[in-house]
Amino acid sequence: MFTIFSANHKRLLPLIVAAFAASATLPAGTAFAEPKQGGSLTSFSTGYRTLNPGVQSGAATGAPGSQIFAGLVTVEKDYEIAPYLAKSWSVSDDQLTVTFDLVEDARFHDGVAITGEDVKFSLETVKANHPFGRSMFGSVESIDVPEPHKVVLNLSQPVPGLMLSLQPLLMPIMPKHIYDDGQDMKKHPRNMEDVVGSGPFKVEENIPAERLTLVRNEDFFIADRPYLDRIAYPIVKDPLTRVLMLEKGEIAYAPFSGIRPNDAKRLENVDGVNMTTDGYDAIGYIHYLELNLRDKPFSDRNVREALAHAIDTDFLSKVIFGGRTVPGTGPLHTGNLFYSADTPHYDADLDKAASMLDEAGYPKGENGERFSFTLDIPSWAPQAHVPMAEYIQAQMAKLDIKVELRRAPDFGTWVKRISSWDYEATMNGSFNYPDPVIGMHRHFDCDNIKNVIWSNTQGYCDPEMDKMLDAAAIETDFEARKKIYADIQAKAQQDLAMIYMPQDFSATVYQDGIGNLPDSPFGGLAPLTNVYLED
Amino acid sequence: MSDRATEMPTPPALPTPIAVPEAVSPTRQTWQMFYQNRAAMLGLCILLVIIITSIVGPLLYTVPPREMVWMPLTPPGQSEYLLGTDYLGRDLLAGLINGGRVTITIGFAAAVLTVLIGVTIGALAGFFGGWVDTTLMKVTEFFQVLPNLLFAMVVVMLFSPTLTNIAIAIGIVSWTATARLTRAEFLRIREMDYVKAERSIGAGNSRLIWKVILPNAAPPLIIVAALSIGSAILFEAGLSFLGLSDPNAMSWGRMVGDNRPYILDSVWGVTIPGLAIFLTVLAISLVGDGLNDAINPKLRQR
Repeated sequence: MFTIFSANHKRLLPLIVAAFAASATLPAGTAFAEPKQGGSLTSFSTGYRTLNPGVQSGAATGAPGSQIFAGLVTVEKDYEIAPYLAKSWSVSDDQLTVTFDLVEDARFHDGVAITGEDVKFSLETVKANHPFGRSMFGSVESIDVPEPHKVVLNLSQPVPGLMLSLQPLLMPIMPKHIYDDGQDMKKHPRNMEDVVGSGPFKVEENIPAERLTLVRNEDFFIADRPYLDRIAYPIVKDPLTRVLMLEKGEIAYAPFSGIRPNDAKRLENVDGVNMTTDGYDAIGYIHYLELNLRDKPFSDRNVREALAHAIDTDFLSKVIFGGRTVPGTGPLHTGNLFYSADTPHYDADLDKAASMLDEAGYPKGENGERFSFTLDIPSWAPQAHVPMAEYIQAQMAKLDIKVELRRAPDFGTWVKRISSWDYEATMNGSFNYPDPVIGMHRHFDCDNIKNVIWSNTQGYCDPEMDKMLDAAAIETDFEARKKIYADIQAKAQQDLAMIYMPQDFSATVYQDGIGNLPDSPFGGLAPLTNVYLED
Repeated sequence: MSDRATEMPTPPALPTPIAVPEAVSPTRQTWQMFYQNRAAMLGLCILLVIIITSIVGPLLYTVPPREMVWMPLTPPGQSEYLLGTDYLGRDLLAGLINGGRVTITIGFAAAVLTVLIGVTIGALAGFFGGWVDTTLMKVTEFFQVLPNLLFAMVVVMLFSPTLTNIAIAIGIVSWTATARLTRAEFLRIREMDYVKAERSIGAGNSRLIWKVILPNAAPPLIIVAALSIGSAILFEAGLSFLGLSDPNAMSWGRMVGDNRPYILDSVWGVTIPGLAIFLTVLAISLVGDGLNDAINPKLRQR
């Protein structure tokens, strides 16, 4: 019954059965100690433009957004799908019709009942406004609401990753009676002011650039949840300040803490403070060196291979990032369900790189250089990109390639350069998200060579790759799909569409005494419904 | 000043020769005053050491400043690299020696620009007076009320952080004091008898400005120019601290800025280049003060 949607159905089935038995009140993570009601948890935010994750991706909106809004399902440990606002669902045999039965007594924060119309409205809003809206729900042809608490999705083709997209981060249930007034959803004032959500926590106070406070939703549809009375998000932009606050215990729970590996070492030594890199699998934050494949010399695959031989990602992971990251082996994060390690590997070998460049027609010129290029460094994630870029510059110098680094002063400048394809090379990174269709296809699909950031900006196009991507997008058998993605990863690495750098060092820092931290692959971007404070 | 002094006619011989102290050229006199000023001499020595190290150092200490040579964040004295390493395992001593060139070059370039703009505008305003003065002083006031650092940041952000742009940005935000000082000097000197005399024998405006008045207005300007090197270096450090440094050139300010995120684990990474900046600016200030004392005639007989 659930085959096409289960990421790993062997583990999934018992869970769903169990969840049904518990009538959706107990998602995963039952603790040994008795959870208790009450208490206030201090997290942090780097600043957000909107609290509505339906129109904005990213952790800054997602962390509080997943508390304010509920989704149809949640994604639990090992990608298991658990009921949330949808108490059950069924899939037709041709896998083109999915029917959801909603919890009946669920209400928005303003007391209005949540119905199928709100689900329909939310899905249409996300499809039209979310950056991945089309990747996630492009195949949803129509939505029927035959009964107030029943929703039917009619698909044009099977969507294997559909259920993973229906949790609150990617598909929050928004109140139609508030938002459906003809205003542009992306700029709707109620995304920031007087936000009416559907999730376990309500907005108590929202002072942008200062702090956000959420309080317990007393009328939440899961009985006796959430446990916490309050979650506070003071705005802390400076990473160094954040580290000091974590060290002093002023921040108790920091997903996407943005700390550096050396800070991690420091924080681990503080009593009562813990650090984990778990909870980022579904986000899958990878980094890469993106080369503009339209122009020489990077249009030549052998040149790219020479570069790959010159960049020792093992050294970067082990030495520069203190062994806290692993080298990227292809377009998927090691935590992704479809990850395959079986991809071509380019050993660190400067001599080989040099002779490959000679053969490719780039010998050392009269000025002592083979060629030169400008390497852009984005304004975001400098803790990862600046050391990587400086390392690449030093390695290229050994190959007699001159690299000019260009640091973008702000996000917009960098986006403009890359999305207008007006660059030679850039440090870059992106999120896989749980399903490769969302986070990975965009970089390889010939149809996605667009003037849009994090699309196929490098201009990679290969008919064979396209065919595999199309096949993987609709393959409903998990093992078969995994096999296609293994081939795709091997081909991406073979073609060197990008040169993969070490994966991101994403870490959650938390204090002792917090129970039931989410063990979802979405980590801190999952609902904190079951989190409680120990005595 | 010395030019004018040597051009002066020798005084007529006195009727009865008395013991006349041997004539000392003003340059020499200035140097003697400067030499007797211990603080100024100390500053000069420090400055010379820094400049010579920056010029000769990279030839003698050949560790490449951008290469990863040791474990990252090694404290000073724990490896063959004396001052330790930064977050990429690069030698801080090599960075310091190579960074000096860039820092001092930016300092000088920005100071030259400051003086060029400032003196030109101040001289024109002070010499011509009237509407020229009013207009130019309005422009000066406009630049004076702009927040310096913010304005420089905007300029650097707009035109990308390269060494040239940074020097230009510093130059165009810090010339106002020089302009006002030059204008004041010109207003004073243009009314002097020797200027009137020059004019009466047919000297044109440009000769009066550049050949007659400017040399006489020079002493305070020299001091301001010297001090503006120091403030330009500080300015560059400030911009770098905010992340606005040329990523292709190692400067002390950039070393401070780049190592700042690692300050909790590597105090030395920020302290060492910071000390270098501090010493250089201090030395320049001491030299500037010394010059002030030495050149200012009112203090000569103290």
